Amino acid sequence: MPDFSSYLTSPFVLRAAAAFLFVAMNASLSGVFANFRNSTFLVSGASHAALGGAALVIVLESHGSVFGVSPVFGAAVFAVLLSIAAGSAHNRGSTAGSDTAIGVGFALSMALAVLLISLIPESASRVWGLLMGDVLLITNQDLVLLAFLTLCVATVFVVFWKQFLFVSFDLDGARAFGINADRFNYLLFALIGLSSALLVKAIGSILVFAMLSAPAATALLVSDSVRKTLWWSFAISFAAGILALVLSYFTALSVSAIAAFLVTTAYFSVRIWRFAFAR
Amino acid sequence: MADVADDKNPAVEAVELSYSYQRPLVEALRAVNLTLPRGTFTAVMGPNGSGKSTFLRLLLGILRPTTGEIRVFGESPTAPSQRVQRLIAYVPQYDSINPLLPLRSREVIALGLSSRVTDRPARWIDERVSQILEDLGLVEIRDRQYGLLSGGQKQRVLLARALVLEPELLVLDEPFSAMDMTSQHATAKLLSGLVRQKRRTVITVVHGIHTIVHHLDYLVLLNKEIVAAGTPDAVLRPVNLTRAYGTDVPVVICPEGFRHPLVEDVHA
Repeated sequence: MPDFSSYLTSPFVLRAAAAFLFVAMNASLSGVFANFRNSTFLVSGASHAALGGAALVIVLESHGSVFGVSPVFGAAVFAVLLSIAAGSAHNRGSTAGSDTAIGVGFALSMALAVLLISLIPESASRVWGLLMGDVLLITNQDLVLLAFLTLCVATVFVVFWKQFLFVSFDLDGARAFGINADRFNYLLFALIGLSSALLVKAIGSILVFAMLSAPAATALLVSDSVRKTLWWSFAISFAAGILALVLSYFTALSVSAIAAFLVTTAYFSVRIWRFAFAR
Repeated sequence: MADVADDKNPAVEAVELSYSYQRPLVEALRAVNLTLPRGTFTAVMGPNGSGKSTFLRLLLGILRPTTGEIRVFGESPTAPSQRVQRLIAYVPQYDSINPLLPLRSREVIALGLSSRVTDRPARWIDERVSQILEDLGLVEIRDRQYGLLSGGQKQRVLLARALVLEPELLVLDEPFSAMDMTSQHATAKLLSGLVRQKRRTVITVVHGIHTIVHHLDYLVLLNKEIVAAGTPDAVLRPVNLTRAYGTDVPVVICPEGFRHPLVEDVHA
């Protein structure tokens, strides 16, 4: 076992730290808006749909049908399709319909993943690896893709910031103000889905929900402005990731699981603190 | 046609306007014919589910008519040019707004203004927002979170968001429902001032009409179709109210001579 300082400066830990930086960026944008929209279930659904898409690419690759395509591509396509289906129901004013679309898409993708795995058992470990994720196994190529797509997500958020805020705050009002609210709603849902898919390789589809939703939910409890919510969400997510890397050295437990545990513990701690002390 | 006035260039003109919601199929409006002139103050009232909010959504271009047509300042509100939409400002029901966003009152107003006016610097937006907050007596709550305001304060912030645009047509959906008596009267006076002094057109959906009946030019009584339209005095007759609400609605006449129906929450 390497000493602690060697561990911290090792390439795989540095790559993991960089990955957590991009996880935190996604948490402070897509995660926050998923919370604003009360659509955190979308994050869970999209990350599990992503598993189905990634499994399809992996199986096609094993079969020799495709070559050199990252599973992230399949993950992103499935997650975005699910998000658009959810957005469609949401635009019609049906939150229940949106949740149903997410639930059915979630189940369909998981069923597809399991079916594909049983078709080609030799690829099973790669697919199941995406279910749990391992940030310490992130490659340079994975990191570049994560960075590129995160910056794409961030750019779209910056360009359409006002429109996303408006449709999240007052959908009908945005329509009446001449904003193409339905289109921006689809785009916002697609970005949340894309963020969920991006993080699957690093932290696993099971834990994406925690890493995207919990920091933003905690940030909303302690912030009184949109800007503070973004910063708090970023800080909680990134701090949890870095702390998880440190704790993992001493406990030999999964980094992603520790990080998810930390962000959810932060949420419940703030909740309990507010319940006990806040008026 | 249930014209409430002759006007060669009306603010709103509905011709055989019908709308049905799909899945499940629900008829919301049936063959509405209506002309509302510019520079007038009109209220639309009727029981729950009578199509009041649907009428507003058609007027705003949020919905497209199933049959018939609606024109605002001579154009369809769903026209791609959005010329008409730039002349309209909308005050939605305060409880239709998502309270989870930690936006401050001034940010809510600025968001509306900067969405409509894109060629002005941030400083100009800030100045306009400060001015409207001062005009409406909302300076105290400028930095308070919208979601934490009282219902009446929320309604006044949404009104400020609309008024800051200086619209030709102001459309309001139950703007008084959560206001206290003083705010209701102040707001009614303010809306009336817009019409009388600036010749703006105001159309509001209301449940209770007492606050504004003294200021209104026209009243439209709706129950999926127009039951009656015209001056409040002509419309607020027991026969019309019974047809609209399906039950007897007493009418009293106030010392100033205005008719007041005792409608609070009568269901269709």
